[in-house]
Amino acid sequence: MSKDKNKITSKQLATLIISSQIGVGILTLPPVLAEKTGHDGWIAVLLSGIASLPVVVIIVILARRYKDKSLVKINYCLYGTYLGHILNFVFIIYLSAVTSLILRIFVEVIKINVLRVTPGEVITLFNFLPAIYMARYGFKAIARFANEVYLIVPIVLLYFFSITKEMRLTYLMPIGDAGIVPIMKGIFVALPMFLGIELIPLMYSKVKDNSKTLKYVILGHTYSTLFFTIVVAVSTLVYGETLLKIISFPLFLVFRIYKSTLFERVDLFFNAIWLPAMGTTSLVYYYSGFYSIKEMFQVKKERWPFVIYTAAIMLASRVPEDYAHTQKLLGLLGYLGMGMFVFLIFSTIFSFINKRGVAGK
Amino acid sequence: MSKLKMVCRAAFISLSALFLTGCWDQRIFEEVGFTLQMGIEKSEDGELTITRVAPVLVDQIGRNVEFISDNGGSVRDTAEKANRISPRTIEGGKVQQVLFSQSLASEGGLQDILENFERDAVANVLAYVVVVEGSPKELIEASLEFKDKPRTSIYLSHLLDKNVKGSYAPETRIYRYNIDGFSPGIDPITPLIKLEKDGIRITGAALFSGGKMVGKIDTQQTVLMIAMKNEMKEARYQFGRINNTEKESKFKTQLSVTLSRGKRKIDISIKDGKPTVNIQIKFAATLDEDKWACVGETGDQKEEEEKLEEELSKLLTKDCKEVIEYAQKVGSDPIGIGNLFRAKHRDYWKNSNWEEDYRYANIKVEAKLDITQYGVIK
Repeated sequence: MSKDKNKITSKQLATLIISSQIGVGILTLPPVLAEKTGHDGWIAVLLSGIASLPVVVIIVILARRYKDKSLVKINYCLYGTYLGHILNFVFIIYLSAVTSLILRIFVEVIKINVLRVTPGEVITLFNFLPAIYMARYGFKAIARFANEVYLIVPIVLLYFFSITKEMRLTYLMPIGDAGIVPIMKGIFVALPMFLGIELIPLMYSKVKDNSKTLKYVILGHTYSTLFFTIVVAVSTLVYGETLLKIISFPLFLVFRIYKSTLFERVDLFFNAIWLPAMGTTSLVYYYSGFYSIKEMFQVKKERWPFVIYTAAIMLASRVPEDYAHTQKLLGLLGYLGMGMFVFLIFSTIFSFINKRGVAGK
Repeated sequence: MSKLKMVCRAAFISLSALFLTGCWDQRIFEEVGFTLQMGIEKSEDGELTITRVAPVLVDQIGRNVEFISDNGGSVRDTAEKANRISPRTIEGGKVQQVLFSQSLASEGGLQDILENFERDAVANVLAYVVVVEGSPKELIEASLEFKDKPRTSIYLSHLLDKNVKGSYAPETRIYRYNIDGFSPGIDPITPLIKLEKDGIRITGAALFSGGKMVGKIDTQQTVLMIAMKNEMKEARYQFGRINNTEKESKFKTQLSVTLSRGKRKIDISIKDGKPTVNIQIKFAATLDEDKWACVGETGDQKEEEEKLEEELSKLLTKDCKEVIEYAQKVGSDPIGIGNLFRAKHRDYWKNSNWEEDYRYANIKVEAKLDITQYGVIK
């Protein structure tokens, strides 16, 4: 393995962040938002993306102040050895839990849509194999694979364009009918969609052209925000808020309504392109978790820690009882993710008081 | 890499091809009975009688389809019962039409039956939802014996496609029925068919309200209803003879046009607390069949054309009005006028009972016909 396997460019960092965001959460977001905000879910997502933009900037400022250190090292500089250990441990647990739960959702979606009888353990193993393979080659290889998100999103948007006659504009009207409080609640519900930006300080020290990072990360954030907004709007335009509330995966269902003379089941093609997107989301968190372990424990020989970590992730993914339980746990983890945002904002402010380790000091 | 390692890896990869074939979800084509058509009606004991037709592709037997009919409490229940008769595993991923009896549709509950198709990721939500005047089981059974028609599901599929294209039947598939059924202020509308001696006839459309079939319109009225829904592509329309004179044929004749590009404009407002609707439709048309000497006494073709357009526009307006009045009478709103009030007059919507208000809403229709082609006769 080459020494610079984790060296990436700013564009690649942005791609990794987008890939960690687009994949799992958006599948179930429209009904959750319909429950809270009726047909104004798209406004809540859009505002949520705008509201989280300052968080992105603050996180990049933190990363830039410690430009040669990963988040693991930053925690030691800011909070000392003991508290740093605890914080890093929590961070690793968080990343591992996210990986396991996303992997489980991935497997459950495959079970619901494609392989109903195949045991979940078998699907877990075979779906995680590409991630295991790619993780050996670091952030650079993962970022290259993650470029698929620039292909998948346009395909989805092109499909939406082809079903415009199935949409009713009246389903979005009257705009803002939900009222300020429900929309505010919706903004909070949609915020976990933007989880992934907490990985910026972990990877930033590996970015070669870090002067451009802020620009690309903001562009990436805008890309995700617009995509989420369009998906929520289209789900509402097609199904209307009443039916949308009781659908589990509107994005999958939307792909079932296209009448094509060439393909009888367009949804199966969507499954084929979307499943790698879900896989990439878990892959980014998976390798981030292992990278944090390496940083924390100064791992020199990777093989066995990697094997043990991978086995632990796969076993942990089987802990939730079923799909609903996994969703519930992922929802709870979303709060921890929000806590990560708060923690990183606090760390940025604190770094101006405790300047130990700050670059150039 | 040592040679031994390479050999081991190559052997592992080669053997994987044998062991990783995923047998759990394997479906052998010959062992699966793909249901193409389903007929659902109420049985005498209050359960559902569900009839399935699956093609037989391999075995050399007398008939090229398998016909299974069973009583049960749900679609899944009868599928399991069908599996106890059929040598193949009955699956529903390729259903093309779901036929409901008119009596069941009038009782309601179609949406609950169709839920199975939405929930099951394998099921086909693009299947047509059709109401049968009579028994779907009898219709399917009889259609198996048609000597000059293709296999029943293909026959009905082509029949529906053709008539949907010609706007004689609404294009209502499972997902559309469910979406409309769940939308406040919109009621579903489905194709209506009937078994005849030598075939199946499209008789128009079934109107729904509150999940129940409440009325039906004929194919001509369906054309206008689809136009008022702003979904018309192309349609043949017949007008009863106008200006019949002593010199003309004594038998009842008609004037035919091909309507195209039906463009609808709909304005809604609240006047004196009453919902007021103004529907304007503009049709472009081709004159297909009329009588000789279309050019009257004036000899001015342009003037005569304008006169004809005006007369036909009046007739169309009258016909549209009759359709909408009937829909109001039975309380069915397939156009989605209620949905427009929900979207644009929120306060009114929140404080009104649309189902009741719709019946007495002031709905005006104005149709305009522009004949763009007259063929090769004046």
